[in-house]
Amino acid sequence: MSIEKNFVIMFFIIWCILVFEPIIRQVQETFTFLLPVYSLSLEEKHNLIDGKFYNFVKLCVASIQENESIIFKVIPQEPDFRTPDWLLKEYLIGRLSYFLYPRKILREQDLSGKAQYIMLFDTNAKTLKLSNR
Amino acid sequence: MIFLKFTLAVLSIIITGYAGLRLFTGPRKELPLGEVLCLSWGMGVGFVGLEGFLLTLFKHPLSLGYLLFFQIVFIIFVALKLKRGFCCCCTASWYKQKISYSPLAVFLLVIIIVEIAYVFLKASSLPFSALNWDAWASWGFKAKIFFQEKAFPVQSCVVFPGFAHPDYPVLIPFAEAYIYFFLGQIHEPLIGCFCSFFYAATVILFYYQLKRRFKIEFALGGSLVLATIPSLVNLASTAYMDVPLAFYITAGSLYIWRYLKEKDNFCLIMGAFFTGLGMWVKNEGFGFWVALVLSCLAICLWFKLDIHKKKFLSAVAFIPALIYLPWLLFKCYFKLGVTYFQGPAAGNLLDLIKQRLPMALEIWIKRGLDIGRWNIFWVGFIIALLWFLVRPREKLAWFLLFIVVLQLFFYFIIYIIWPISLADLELQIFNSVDRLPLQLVTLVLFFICLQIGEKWRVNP
Repeated sequence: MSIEKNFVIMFFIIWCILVFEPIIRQVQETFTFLLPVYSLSLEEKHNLIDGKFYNFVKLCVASIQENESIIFKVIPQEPDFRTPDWLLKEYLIGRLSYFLYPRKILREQDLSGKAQYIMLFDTNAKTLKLSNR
Repeated sequence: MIFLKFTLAVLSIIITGYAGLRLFTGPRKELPLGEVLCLSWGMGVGFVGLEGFLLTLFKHPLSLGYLLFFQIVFIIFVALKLKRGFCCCCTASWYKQKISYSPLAVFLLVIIIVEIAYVFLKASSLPFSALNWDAWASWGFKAKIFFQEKAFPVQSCVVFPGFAHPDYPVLIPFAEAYIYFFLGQIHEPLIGCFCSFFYAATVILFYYQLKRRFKIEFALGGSLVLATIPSLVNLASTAYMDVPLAFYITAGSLYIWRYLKEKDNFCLIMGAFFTGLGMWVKNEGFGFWVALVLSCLAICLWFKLDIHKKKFLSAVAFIPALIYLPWLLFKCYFKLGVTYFQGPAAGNLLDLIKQRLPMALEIWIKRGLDIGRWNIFWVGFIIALLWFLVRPREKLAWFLLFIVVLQLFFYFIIYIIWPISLADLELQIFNSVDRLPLQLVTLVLFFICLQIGEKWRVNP
């Protein structure tokens, strides 16, 4: 056998050995997690992923009109840049903007005075609260 | 019911794409069924995406009726033009060709199918989360806006979401909005499923390109390697746009490669067309087009090719540019600049190179050698590359190598000139180090196969 053929066979055998374990993991994941989750309703899937946050979103959708703006304020203070709290805050702002569209989510520094609602994110308790200004 | 609507949406995309494909192939062209489906998918997504964009541009409010109307008109137009040729499909060769599958081939095929099924199931099981940030923040958000507004409200995208990067191309967000119009609601798991089609199409298209030159076991082995690259499998179910871009890059470059080998004008048009659509998927698609044009220019200058060089270069340069032109004009009109580069330069260029290049290279090399993310893919590439430099099996493979090198060069240029701090840049490199090489992975693997697959070659 030529070196070339040997190389191909060796490469492929090593590849398959290394890929075997991830494939087994995928099959396990399929039966233990993905298939049970697949049959859930969309609502249940959102609850599974975002839990309390998704319920909070539903509350906001129900209680805030579509043309309103909401100020997102962090208490007791803004987290440091690139810390886990900062990332969580950014996720919440982004995901709220996404879920609540066409309602506008404004950062505290964008304060225009027109917003009727204020959303408080407590970094210590990791909770969100909505109140009328 | 929702799944039925989704199936209808996918079918409508494929049928529209098929009509587009028939327009290019003419009535006589024969292609395998899988290849036809993949090309129809890519073309269909391009059609519905551009259709949505153009309709909003002409102030037509988007609706399922409007979108379907233009598709049906298009399909009828092609059917009338080709008459009987429209339905006597591209797949005659599929019936004629009898393939016998060895046990090894069946085994490889089963693993590929398992991987594809896993990606589809994972993508369609869960909605977006913090883990697939870009899927909703950069792309899904726009799709939601298009669906709810039934228009492209540029100001909404620019001003308040703050995450939706207005300068990012909108082909896939419009295609996602098309799915939403069919479903009548926002449904993130099915958008994940929609994006997984690009993963399957990339693997299948790659298989057909390999099979034209190599024995079936080798073609399936190569496709298995592609389908099981851990980074690709992880990303394929996240609805990130790197996998759709990888699909368009695969089609763009491998059909142009095929044109160089087979001198078939259909391949040249397909390659140029898919390159143009790739520019509409992500901004990196633009870099790919530049790399492709430079690479074509280089091989025209370097090699004695038995082709009409002017026609070849014009097609590669102008067809994609023409397809991209509406988006370019739109961006200029609304002043949608690349947000990443709107800041003062981070320093002197030479200093930046000294400071940033070693860091970026270190991260890329470490990550590339991470078996959990790439298996031994890049090790295989390095060995094949060294081998190629010593004893090239196919000199024209320089064409693929040029594209890969130029595209990597563009990525690193961006790292170097990006006006952000070093700490931020490090984070951005970590964020992109698995995604960017994925866009080129089929080209790299095709190059490896050309170099090491001599013993399995069936066609010159």
